[in-house]
Amino acid sequence: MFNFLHLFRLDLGFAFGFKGASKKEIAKKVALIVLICACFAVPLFFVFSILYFGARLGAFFGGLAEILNIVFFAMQLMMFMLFLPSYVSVVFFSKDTELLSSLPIGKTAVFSSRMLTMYLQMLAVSFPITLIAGIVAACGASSGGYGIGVEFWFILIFAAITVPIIPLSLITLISFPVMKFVSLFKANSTLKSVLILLLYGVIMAVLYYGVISFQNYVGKIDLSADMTANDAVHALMQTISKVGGSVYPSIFITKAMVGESSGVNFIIYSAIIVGLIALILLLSMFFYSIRESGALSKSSDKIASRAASASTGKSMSVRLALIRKEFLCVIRESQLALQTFAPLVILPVIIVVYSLAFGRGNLVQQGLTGDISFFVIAMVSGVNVMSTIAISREGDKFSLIKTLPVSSKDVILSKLWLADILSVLVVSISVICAAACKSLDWIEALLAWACGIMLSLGVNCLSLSRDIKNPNFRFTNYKELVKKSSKSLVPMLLGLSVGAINMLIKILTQLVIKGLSDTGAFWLRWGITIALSVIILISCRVNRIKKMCADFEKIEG
Amino acid sequence: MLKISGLTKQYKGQNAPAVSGLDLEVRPGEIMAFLGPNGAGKSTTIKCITGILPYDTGSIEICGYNLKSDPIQAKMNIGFVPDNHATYENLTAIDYINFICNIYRVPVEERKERIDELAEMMSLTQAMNKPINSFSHGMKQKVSVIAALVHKPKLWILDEPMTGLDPKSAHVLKELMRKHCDEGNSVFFSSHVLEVVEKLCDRLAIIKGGELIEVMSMDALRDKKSDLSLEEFFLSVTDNNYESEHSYTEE
Repeated sequence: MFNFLHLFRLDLGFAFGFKGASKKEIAKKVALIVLICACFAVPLFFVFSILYFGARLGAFFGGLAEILNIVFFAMQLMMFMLFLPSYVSVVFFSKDTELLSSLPIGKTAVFSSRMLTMYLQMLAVSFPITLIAGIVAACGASSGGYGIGVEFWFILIFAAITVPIIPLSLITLISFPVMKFVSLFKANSTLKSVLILLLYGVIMAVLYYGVISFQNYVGKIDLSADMTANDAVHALMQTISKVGGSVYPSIFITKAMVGESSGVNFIIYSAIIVGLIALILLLSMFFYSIRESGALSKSSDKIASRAASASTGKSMSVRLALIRKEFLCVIRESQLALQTFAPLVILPVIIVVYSLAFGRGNLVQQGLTGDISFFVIAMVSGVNVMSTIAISREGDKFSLIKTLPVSSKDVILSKLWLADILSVLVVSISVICAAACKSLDWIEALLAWACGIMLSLGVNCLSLSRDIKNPNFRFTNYKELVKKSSKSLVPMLLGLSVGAINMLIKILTQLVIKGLSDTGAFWLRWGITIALSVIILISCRVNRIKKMCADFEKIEG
Repeated sequence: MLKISGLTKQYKGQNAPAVSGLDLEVRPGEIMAFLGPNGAGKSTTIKCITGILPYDTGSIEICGYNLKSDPIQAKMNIGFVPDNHATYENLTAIDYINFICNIYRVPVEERKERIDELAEMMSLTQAMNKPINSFSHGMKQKVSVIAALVHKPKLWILDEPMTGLDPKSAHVLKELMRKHCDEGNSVFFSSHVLEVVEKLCDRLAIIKGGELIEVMSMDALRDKKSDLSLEEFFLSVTDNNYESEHSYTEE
């Protein structure tokens, strides 16, 4: 228990990035998190507005619990997407297993500490959203004349604490068969990384496809021309109730919250949660012990021995050789590859599925699909692990590059260009997907592509220069390095801001600034977005290489 | 081959320099050992020579190229074996050596012969297509040695080269060092293994507290201190009272 507490405190510090940070650094991190939350506030405002009006209608037509459950379900999906890579990293790729094995700490203590830390990380994201969703729903319902009982607030807090357990159990169930399959390819680390990425994309696609199929199956609205407005709203509410009511097990807790057989539903939900906790612990413990025994880890004995004579390869320029080395070093490290290349797989999946789910002409989306697509593209443009930890990921091998007869400019440009290639691919594929799904028309697609490219090229340079100025060569695994790096927050914030401003201008031109034509509003919005992207590109990129070279020379690895 | 003049390096936040006013020359065709107790400044000096650490004052010239003003040409003449077996471990051994060949502009037609010869000597031929992260410390050290020699450097620098090597590989490494010097090149290495230094070196330099306190040839050592082994001599010069009793000697 004593060792567990020590380890847990350490894991917690690493997970939340406050380990070893000074008070000033902590204050900076908190400020950045607040700013990021402010950027997310724009899309969340939409969600909560819909929830408010939905709850108000639900108070009259029924279906309040189901409406709230749809928000809970969306959050569980988000948790699943965000934390699947983290779970895989912790259970299957944790690099400090060898070190911990040599210390007098039990396997159970290590495992419990890791799982508890992950749960708390999930809770940090889900708790405020659940709480706000509950408050908004309660306000909406109250304004619709629905009496919210005192039990609502107690059960809301219970729900906020327990909801992350549902996606965590799903992650646990899915990850083992996936990793077992991937471990068959352990002799080829590149193939292994590619497979993990593809499987990650496939899981997400299947998940989203399942959600859409489910929505299509239960969510058909039977509207006819002779219906009154009241009938139409009633039909809509019935459909929403059917969708929300079919998502288990969180429907039990939302029903308990709004007073529908509160006692019974609360007990059923609690029993399911206890069962899921047991399932998570038993399965994860089993997987962790298998991983520790080496069944899923790399085995040098089984690495295929190819022809003894070494191939001399091809002659290439210094920069090309450096880029190739960088790429191989990333792709052959499964954990790093997943962190780095995940946007390449997941962003197109999100855009395609989102576009299919809320395509143009849908009653719900109200013309916002394209804006949300751009928001996501802009957000991801700001996050490129290839550049945010370009120097730090060298770790204790950094000194090697300094001994080689290459200029600092060659080293920096090779890292920057590789990050740029990845960004261009991510943005281009995402925009093509959005355009193909008609989420963006061709002019919007072109503008989104141009802004996404400018943004990413700018922030890549900014991220790299921040990493050069303050590299972190002391890390135990890449996940920790990425999470601990506050360098990724500022670039992400830039991307998020541009996406949020784009969306905000649309809202303002529709709701506040009256009298502007559609074309005028369109070009005002995109004009400002392009201007911001150009400013970010120029301020982050122009005349920065020379300064970066000077900073690189000062690094004492 | 290597000329260090007035080298001074002080780490941030430290009161005293790690290396202070160091003057040293390694001549063509000689093996020079660099000795000193822990924390004396050996690794700092080697890191400055290889470009890992920037230095405050002084100059370092490798084959006539100044390390500060012409770092690429200077480094083109160095082959370095670090003490931590640092390589890019996600690459296979052959991928890594090819990367080094590209960086040092070794023509493709010359690579195969050199790599095969060095791999054979280091008994690493069968493992060249395997990822370095599956290697033992000794095997990683061998990869570092191949990478250091594949471009035929004029100055071969090794930091604690015998660490982790099996007796046969250590023997091969010593032979390689001697052969390298016989071809008119130079070897500069740090070590705590005084038996190796005694048998292999032409000259030795001893550093203590960041300052050079002895530079002499092995012949001069044998002549002047015939009654002492190298170990006894080393212990006597690194003793705290030595500096006040003896002056710095450059033959």
